[in-house]
Amino acid sequence: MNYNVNYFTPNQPMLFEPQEALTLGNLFKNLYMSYKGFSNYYLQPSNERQKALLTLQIYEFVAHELNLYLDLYADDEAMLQLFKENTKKAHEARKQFVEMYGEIEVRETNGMHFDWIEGPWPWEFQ
Amino acid sequence: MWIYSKKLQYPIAIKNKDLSMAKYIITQFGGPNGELAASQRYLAQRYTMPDDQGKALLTDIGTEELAHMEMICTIVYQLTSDVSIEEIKAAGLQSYYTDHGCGLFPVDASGTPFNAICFASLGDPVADIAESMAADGAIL
Repeated sequence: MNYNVNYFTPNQPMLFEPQEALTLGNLFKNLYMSYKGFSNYYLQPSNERQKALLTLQIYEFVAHELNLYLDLYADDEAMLQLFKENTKKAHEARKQFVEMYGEIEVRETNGMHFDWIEGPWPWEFQ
Repeated sequence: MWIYSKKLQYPIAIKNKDLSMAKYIITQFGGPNGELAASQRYLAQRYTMPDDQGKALLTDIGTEELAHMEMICTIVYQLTSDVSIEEIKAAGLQSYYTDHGCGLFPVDASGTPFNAICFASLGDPVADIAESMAADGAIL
């Protein structure tokens, strides 16, 4: 018996919008609880690089949340479709960031100089 | 294997140093329910999961915890940037500074170094998942 498939009611979780999902650290409305009534900081990029990075972080986060969901409910076709759509958006956002600001993974190296060693590194203020 | 992404999972840009905040937050790096423990817990427990879901989920969550560990380290690093010895003393961090400077070292809030004994990997899926849930719930 497969306990992970609900045969009787379609599994349609309510989802947050992508940016809200990243802000709250949760894509799934039914799994979210605010922490002691605190509201979350609304991310406002202060330059173009931050904006491009945030777009990538948003879609990668949504795709990752769907990835974790699909780990448990691999037969959910609607969520699989959503996962594919978001990985595509993340891929586009990554391509745009890399073109403008350099490699996120070393295998994306594509210029005449090995820019990988140049900052800012993720822990540095940027 | 793992491939490094040169970005954080969530943006972190801290403008003001705050040593006492860093002193609390560092436990989320090296404390018993921190991200280092979480990543090692999940990535150790996944090998003996009997089902596809368990193997996949612990692999993917364990990987995500490594990204969380990087975020916590980034927070501590930025909170402690450009601090003076006087500020370190005032925050009660002189013992940490003696051994580690402003380097990142996995300790809990009282300065005790990370110890793998704080998590379990028992080869029993129910015990392991229960232990994982307890550790994850402890930070809520």
